[in-house]
Amino acid sequence: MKRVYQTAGLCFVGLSAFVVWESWTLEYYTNLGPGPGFFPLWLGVVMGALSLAWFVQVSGRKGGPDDVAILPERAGILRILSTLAALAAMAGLMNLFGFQLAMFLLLVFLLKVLGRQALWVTLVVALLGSVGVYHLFGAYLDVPLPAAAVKLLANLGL
Amino acid sequence: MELFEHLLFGTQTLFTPVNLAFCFIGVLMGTLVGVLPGLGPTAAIALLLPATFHTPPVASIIMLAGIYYGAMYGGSTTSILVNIPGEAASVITCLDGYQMALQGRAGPALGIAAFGSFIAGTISVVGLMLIAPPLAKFALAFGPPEYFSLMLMGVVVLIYLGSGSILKALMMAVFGLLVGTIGQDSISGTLRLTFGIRELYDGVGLIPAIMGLFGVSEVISNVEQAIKTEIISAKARNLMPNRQDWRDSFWPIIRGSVLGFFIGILPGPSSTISSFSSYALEKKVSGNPAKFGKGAIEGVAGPEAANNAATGGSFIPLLTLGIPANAVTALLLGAFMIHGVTPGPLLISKHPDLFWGTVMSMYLGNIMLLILNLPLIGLWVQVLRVPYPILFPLILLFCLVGVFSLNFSQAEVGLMIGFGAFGYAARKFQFELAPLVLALVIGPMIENYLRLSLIISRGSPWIFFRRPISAVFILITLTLLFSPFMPRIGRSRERFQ
Amino acid sequence: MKRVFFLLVGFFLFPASAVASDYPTKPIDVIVAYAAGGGTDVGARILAKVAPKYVSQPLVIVNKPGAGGEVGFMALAQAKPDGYTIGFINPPTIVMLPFQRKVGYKMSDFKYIINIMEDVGCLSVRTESKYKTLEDFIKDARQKPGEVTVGNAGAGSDAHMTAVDIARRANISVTPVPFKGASEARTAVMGGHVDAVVMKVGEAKPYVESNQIRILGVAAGERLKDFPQVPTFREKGILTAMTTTRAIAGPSGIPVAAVKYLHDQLKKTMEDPEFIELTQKTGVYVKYMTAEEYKKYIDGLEQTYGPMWKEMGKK
Repeated sequence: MKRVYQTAGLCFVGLSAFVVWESWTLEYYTNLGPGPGFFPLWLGVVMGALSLAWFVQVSGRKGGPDDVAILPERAGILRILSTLAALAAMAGLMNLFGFQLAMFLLLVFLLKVLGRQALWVTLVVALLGSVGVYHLFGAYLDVPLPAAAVKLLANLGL
Repeated sequence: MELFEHLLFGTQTLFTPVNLAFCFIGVLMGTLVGVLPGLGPTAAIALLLPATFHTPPVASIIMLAGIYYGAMYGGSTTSILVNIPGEAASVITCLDGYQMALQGRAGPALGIAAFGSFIAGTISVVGLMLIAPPLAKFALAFGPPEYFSLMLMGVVVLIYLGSGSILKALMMAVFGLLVGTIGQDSISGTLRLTFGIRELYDGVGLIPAIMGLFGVSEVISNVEQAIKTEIISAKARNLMPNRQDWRDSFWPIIRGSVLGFFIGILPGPSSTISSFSSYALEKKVSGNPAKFGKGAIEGVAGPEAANNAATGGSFIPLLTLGIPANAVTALLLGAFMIHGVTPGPLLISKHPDLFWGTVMSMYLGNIMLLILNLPLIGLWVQVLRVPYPILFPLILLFCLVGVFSLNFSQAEVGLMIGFGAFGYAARKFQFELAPLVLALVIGPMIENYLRLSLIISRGSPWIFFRRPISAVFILITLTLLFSPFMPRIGRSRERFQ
Repeated sequence: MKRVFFLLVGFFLFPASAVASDYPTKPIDVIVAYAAGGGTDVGARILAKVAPKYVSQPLVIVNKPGAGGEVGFMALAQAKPDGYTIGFINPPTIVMLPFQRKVGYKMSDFKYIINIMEDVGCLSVRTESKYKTLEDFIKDARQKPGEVTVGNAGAGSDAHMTAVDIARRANISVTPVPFKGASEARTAVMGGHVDAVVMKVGEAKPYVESNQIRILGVAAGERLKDFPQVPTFREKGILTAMTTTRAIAGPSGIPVAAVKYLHDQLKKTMEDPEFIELTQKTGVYVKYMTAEEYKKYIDGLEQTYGPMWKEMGKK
């Protein structure tokens, strides 16, 4: 468990170093006060210092009742990753497939695969959540959700 | 006395069928808009503005104003029920409000939020009536140096917000400050940490960030374990706050209202700052700070009152000096102009019907909102009874549509998902997210005001001390920082880290 | 037989007139490169409100804010050129962005349809200020080089460029203070935190009427109807004229028939008294320009701003 904490700490340290490096190229100080590089640079430095302090802190700790199992079990990791991937896919494909189709697929995945709901429940909720929301927002709230970019799907009314 | 005459006049103006109808429509729309994330009062007002072109000015303003403060009521609903803050000001309500919901106390949480908002709204309208003009002049005296010093004081507030390790709270705060620097620097025009990604030029959007950090990460957290049917640990008991709740909430509401009102007068994200400040204040004066973050009703009552009072307070510079405090009031300003009403000191004298009619409509609007929202509580609590396997996809749908409807940007949706993953990881390691959010909000402002002040003083840092208001704030900050009450960095404030 | 003949004739004639006679057949998206509630957005909504009198399909406002307008301008440049997506373009910002950094569009990606509105730049102070006229301001700035502070709406904004141009031509040296938007700059000058501010007349007008702001000079070709007593910079020998305009454009491949239709119908919309009244209430002026005139105007802007930006020493 300590390893996991340490890795997290190192990630932060790495991030800080990166920020400092990027900020180095920006103007540090002008004759009228700090330039754009000033703040990010110092924030990166402080972040680095804090991260190192935390790293030291978690490294020195003995195992105790406070050490919760950080890494979830395999099934849990799978669920999380697939949810995130599905969300990302939705975000990426929304403009291509149109909101309705993309959201429908997402909802079916979440409801059926992850939630293991009955088929009819899945279909009803997915339809309402995709087609229903699309029309609701378009007609009443003046928010045009994306229609499909792909010709074939667009002609289907998606 | 004269005030009474004004009120009478205002009431007369208000109680016409048209004005009453518009008041109701405004607050109704505001509540709806507040519940839906993303689609904020700004968008709603912009959408409805053309519809008001041909309606009489007083009715239009009453309606648009109603949308603004109505949205504040709605914003807390999703925070409490599903941990999704509709906007930055509602983030604080998530902290204890959602915990209360998980304990089966969603009803009292929603109830106290509604009542607290009502009381705060009323107090702020009274304040608006009584001390508007002199306060507005005071607000004008705030320039970049004063804002900087004030924000610096806010940083001290940051330190009070966390309940665990100071080190981790600081890490989150600094991280938030860093994220806040992403984007185009308004003072020099250079791009910082954007890596050529156009969507980052304006900085990281606050709404995608908070919806990801709170809403999405909560879902992911729940998904990690086998998806249980019920995430609420206890059955929903009563729907209304009980007597003990009232006793606990009374002073937080009063304090929150006063605090929020005064902060609201200052331009900027005042509702966010006031809700965070109220939370910190309540924690400080509480006899039992450890209960915050675990469903303490004070953590809902105070901040909710504060952000509503801030809304009322922000009307002061708008109505008396024509100074918009944020995007919403700027829109209202535009609405004034379209209706031929010149904002500024003469507004009250040239358009007394508008001013007093609007003031009275805010009283009435708050009453309407209370009546509207209370019965809805029963309805909202039912939402929590939807089996979680069906609820969580709907929550994600909600978040996706909400963020997308803001700017039609796929990148922001992606950003939200990213923040969701980050928020999940952060919570696993027991980092707190509230300091991150506050840093995101005030970080860019601190830097901006510091640099602006130095440009104005042409490089001299004495500007902060030469100006009286700014000097006072700095003094207070230094005192607080070095006072014995400040927690020490090495030690944690509680047993666990 | 005759009926079939006419039907056949009609059938063959139909495609030829298809584009001209039945455009538009569905709602037209109007891209606004700024957030809901901003100046351009409100102006666009006013247009969309009055247009149904003349345009047979509704105009749907689509906000695509971001990167100072770049996101929206890019979206317009890359939109399908079928006549159903048009947008507002905002010079001088749209012209200046390509000089300030690499952007995802070129001016040649757009086909101008018609110019709708114009807003003029001005130099203003608060009414309590010791500067009563433009000469006072210039005199004071000459005596104290670099000490007079002039607020503007942000580094690289048109207000900023106007301030620099004025200073250059008037031979004075002031300190520009870049705020995060015109509203903040205006509030700062009203509170006395900066000595003066450069902004657009539309942003100043309501405050002049309420006696909080005094306009010292306007950057127009001739004096404004609303402020006949305010001199133009030109009159005082400062040859600057910076205006912002808002025009409708489409992506460069947009069909000619659509352009003609939009131009004609939007021109009628612009001349509608309701439109004029509403627009003036927001403080901007209705100003018609044909596409050709507009192209000349844009070219002129490019020639002014390009060298100016380089001179200012950025990039």
